[in-house]
Amino acid sequence: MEKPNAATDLDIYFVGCASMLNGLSSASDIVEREAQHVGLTLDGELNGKRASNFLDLDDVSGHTAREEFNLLVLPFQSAFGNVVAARRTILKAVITHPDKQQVWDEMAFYHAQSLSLHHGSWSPAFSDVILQRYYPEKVAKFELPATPEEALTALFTK
Amino acid sequence: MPEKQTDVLRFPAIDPSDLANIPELTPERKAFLEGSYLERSYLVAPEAQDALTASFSKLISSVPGFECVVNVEVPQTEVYY
Repeated sequence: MEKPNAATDLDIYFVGCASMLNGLSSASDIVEREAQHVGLTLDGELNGKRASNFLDLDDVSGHTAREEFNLLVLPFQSAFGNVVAARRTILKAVITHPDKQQVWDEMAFYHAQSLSLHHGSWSPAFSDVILQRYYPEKVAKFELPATPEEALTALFTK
Repeated sequence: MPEKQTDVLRFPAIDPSDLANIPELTPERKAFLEGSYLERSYLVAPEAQDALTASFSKLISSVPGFECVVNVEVPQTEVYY
C-alpha cells in the first residue's frame, strides 16, 4: 500500500540588499525557531546563514561575473516577500549585460534543474517514467520565458 | 517608510489534462504528481505555511535590506512510498 511520509527538512535562501549581509545569521535563527514550531528543521547548509548562499541585489553584476546563476535565478522560484521587485532588479541587470542571452540561458538551466527535485522515491521503472515523461512536461509548463525581455514584459503584465 | 510589498509567487497548479497522456499513472500516482505541482506553490507544507508566512513577513519588515525568502525544495513534495 502506498503511504505518504512528508519530509521535515526546510532549505531556504535569503535575497536582499547588501545591508542584510550582517543579519543573515540572526534572520536564520528566527526562521529556525518558527520552523521548529511547525515541526520543520532548517537544513544545516541551506539555512540562509552563509553569505555564499545569499543573493545580494546590490551586487547582481558580481554574481554574474562569478557565474552564480543558481543564485540569480532564485527569485524566479518559490519565493515569499518583495519578489516582483527582486525579479525586476535581476532582469534589468541581465538585459544590460553584453551576453544577456547567455546569462539568461544559464539561469534557465538552473531553473529547470530545480523543477526536477523531490519527486519522491519510486520503483526504478516508475522513476524512469517520471524522468522521461513527467519531468519534460513539468519543465515545458514552468520553464522561464525564452528571453529576459519576455520575462520583464511578463512581470509588468501580472 | 513605505511598507514592503509581500508577494508569494507560486507555480500554477497543473491542469490534470497535462498528465492524461501518461498511461502508466495509477490514480494514486496521478494524484501525487498533480499534488506535487500544487505543493510547489507552497514554501512549506500547507499546514505550516500560515505560521511561516507570518514569520517571514515580520522578518522581512524588520531586517534592513531583506527582500525575499526562497525555498527551492518543498518538503511536502518529498514523499516516499
